[in-house]
Amino acid sequence: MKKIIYLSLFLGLVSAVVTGAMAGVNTITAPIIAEAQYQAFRAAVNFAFPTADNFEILAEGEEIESPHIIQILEVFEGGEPIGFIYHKIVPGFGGPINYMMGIDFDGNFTSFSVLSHSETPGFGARIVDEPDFAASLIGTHAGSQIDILTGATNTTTPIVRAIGELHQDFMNRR
Amino acid sequence: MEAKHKKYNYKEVLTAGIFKENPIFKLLLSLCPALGVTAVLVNSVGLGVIILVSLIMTNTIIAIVGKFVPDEIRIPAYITIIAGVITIMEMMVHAFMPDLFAALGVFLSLVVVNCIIMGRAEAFAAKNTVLASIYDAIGNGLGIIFALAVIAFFREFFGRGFVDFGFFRLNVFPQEYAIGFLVQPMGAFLMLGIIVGIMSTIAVGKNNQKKAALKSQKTATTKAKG
Repeated sequence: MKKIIYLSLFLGLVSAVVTGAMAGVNTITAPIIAEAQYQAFRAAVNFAFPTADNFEILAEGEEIESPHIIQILEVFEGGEPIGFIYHKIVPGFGGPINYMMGIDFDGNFTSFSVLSHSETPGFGARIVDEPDFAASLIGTHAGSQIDILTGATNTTTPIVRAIGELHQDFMNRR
Repeated sequence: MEAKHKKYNYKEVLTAGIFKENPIFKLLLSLCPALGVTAVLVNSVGLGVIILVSLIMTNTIIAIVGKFVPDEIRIPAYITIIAGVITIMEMMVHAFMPDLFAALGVFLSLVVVNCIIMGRAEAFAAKNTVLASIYDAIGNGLGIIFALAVIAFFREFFGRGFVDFGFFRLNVFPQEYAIGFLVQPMGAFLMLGIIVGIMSTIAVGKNNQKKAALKSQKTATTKAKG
């Protein structure tokens, strides 16, 4: 019995020291990470809505029912909301595709920008390397029929499928 | 538990990790990063450096505290320490090298369960002095960087037609002729297999030479005796 208490206390001590060290480093790095993320959002907002002057995070993580949407930003111009930006991750052919889509209150897409992906060069990577796919999305209504890219079926199908989910969420929020 | 005052050959401890007991090519450990991130040379070297730094830190800490940790909770205590060190590394990389953080993704957190870090802690650092453990960590870390760089170099070379060193891009042949599937996950298996095969062939050849040399020496001495 004495031994068990000793072992538990020892392990507790180890955990406490490690947690303390992690918390210490976190106080240094957390503001830098938050600042970098804010800048990334800022850039995405300006790209989707050039006239926007402010934005806030509407929902993120567990609050959102749809599994592929990880963050939703609401964008403002002069205090009036003008649209949303959906930050999504869908499984592509070579790995997760991490991208943002801007949508205005009429339901039309205003941007499609890929943050990271691991698709095959010459096939799936064309969603980034060639403007066709992004161009086919921008200005299109979220509820309309959207074509996938030939030769990049496994890359673009999940993105197009996830648009239905986005549309549903958009209709609920608007 | 009386510590044995063994004389270390530091040079041997250092080079063992790089060549003779290379974690990836010889022990076939730490294959998760070897297969997962080696599509791009710069990222593989980045992850290799992260593993090297983490190894030095974990080996040092465990060499110091290892003697005080009761045997029954050895593994959970080591895992806690390793997880803490890797999480700290992860936060630092996220803050100061965001591009590398984005490129490595989940593989950075997965360093926690990297066999080689736990392996060196358990097999070497816990039983040896701090200085020897640091040498061991540097040796194994360099071995991992070397292995990751070699795999990534050839995957980019054949799979992309160019090798991107970060500061310099070596164009080899037009991208149309590249074997695209080598930069995909299954290409990693093939490349790793080929490289390990070549390395083993060289090692076996060297061993045979050594044996032959030993044999001829023996026969020579027995003849001389006779």
